[in-house]
Amino acid sequence: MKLTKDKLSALFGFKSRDKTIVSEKPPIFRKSIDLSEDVDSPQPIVANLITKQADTIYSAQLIQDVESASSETEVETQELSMEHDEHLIAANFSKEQLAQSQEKLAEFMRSCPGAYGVLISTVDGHEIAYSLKRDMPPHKISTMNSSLLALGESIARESLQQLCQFVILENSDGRVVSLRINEILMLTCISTKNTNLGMLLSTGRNTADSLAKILQ
Amino acid sequence: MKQIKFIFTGPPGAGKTTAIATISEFPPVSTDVFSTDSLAKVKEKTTVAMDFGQITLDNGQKIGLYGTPGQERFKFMWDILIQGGLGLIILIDNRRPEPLKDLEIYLDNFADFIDKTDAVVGITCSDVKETPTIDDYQEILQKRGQVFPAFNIDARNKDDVLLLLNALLTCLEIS
Repeated sequence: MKLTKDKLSALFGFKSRDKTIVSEKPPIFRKSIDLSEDVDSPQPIVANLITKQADTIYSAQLIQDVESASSETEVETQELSMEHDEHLIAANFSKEQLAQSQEKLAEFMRSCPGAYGVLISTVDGHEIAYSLKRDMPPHKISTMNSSLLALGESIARESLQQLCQFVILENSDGRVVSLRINEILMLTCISTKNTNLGMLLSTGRNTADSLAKILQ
Repeated sequence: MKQIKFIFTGPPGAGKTTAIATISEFPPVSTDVFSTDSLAKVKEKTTVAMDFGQITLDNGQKIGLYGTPGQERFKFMWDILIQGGLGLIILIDNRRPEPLKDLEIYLDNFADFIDKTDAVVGITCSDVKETPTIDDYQEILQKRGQVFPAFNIDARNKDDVLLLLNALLTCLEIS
């Protein structure tokens, strides 16, 4: 069945509020619409956390080795055609900058006893550098936290509040804190509850400020 | 009256954010940030979580308009956003290298959702690049046994975007 614009306009249609589509017939839902009915959808499975020595890896060295943590039922897709070139245009830093950044991440880890992860990523979800003590997928954490930070900033705007300084996830056994480094970069800090929140926020802010100077 | 939820999806730059902004009654909530990868050559900003707008029909029925990020790496947001959704609007950018493959990727990824609901396809920028044509898209849909309306649209044109909603509502009515 091929529907043309003309046919549809003639046969069906709903009236928009400003009458841009003219039809006398309002939409009729012959079947009841149960809005509480959620469509079953697979949720991402977070990789098991396994304690190990801290990794210090640059994004260029990353291998996509954690895809097995994705949903059991998800359909295999041709990811490359949907993804843009991983080459970061706006966040293309020198080795020296990255080495200095890595040192700042190491400092953060030393300053916060309970910290077991800290990541620099772009605000659109690409990891730049990270230091992790547990087995976690850095690209997923980067991507998901970029969404979270953007949502936090949107919620702040909609709540008529100013600059969103931190997005804080308070969990039963730890915290995840996301904050901006600058216009294109963000920092994610992950810790157990061995570090108190104030210290985590403060150290995170100081690290982000230092990184902002390095990654200009 | 409860709000109906429609989801806009499609590749980056297809016009999802624009389409929602075009018809939303209020300035849509957006989560656009600067693009830092090669997408930056095409567009300065990209959606990383969701867009949200709303339109109200004359009968008082409110329709929530949710836009997904386009990139595959944000698939976790797709899974979140479809929950409670009633229909899918797939926007395809005809200028991209393989728009027909793009369509199939989204049909595959949202297959379970589409099975339970319905979908409509909007092809953008067909004035810039004429091929593939609507017939080519329909051929793909027919081969897959998925009979959905497909239109050439301009995401900036209110009538065009409303046409997609209209078609989707109609499909839902008759299914």
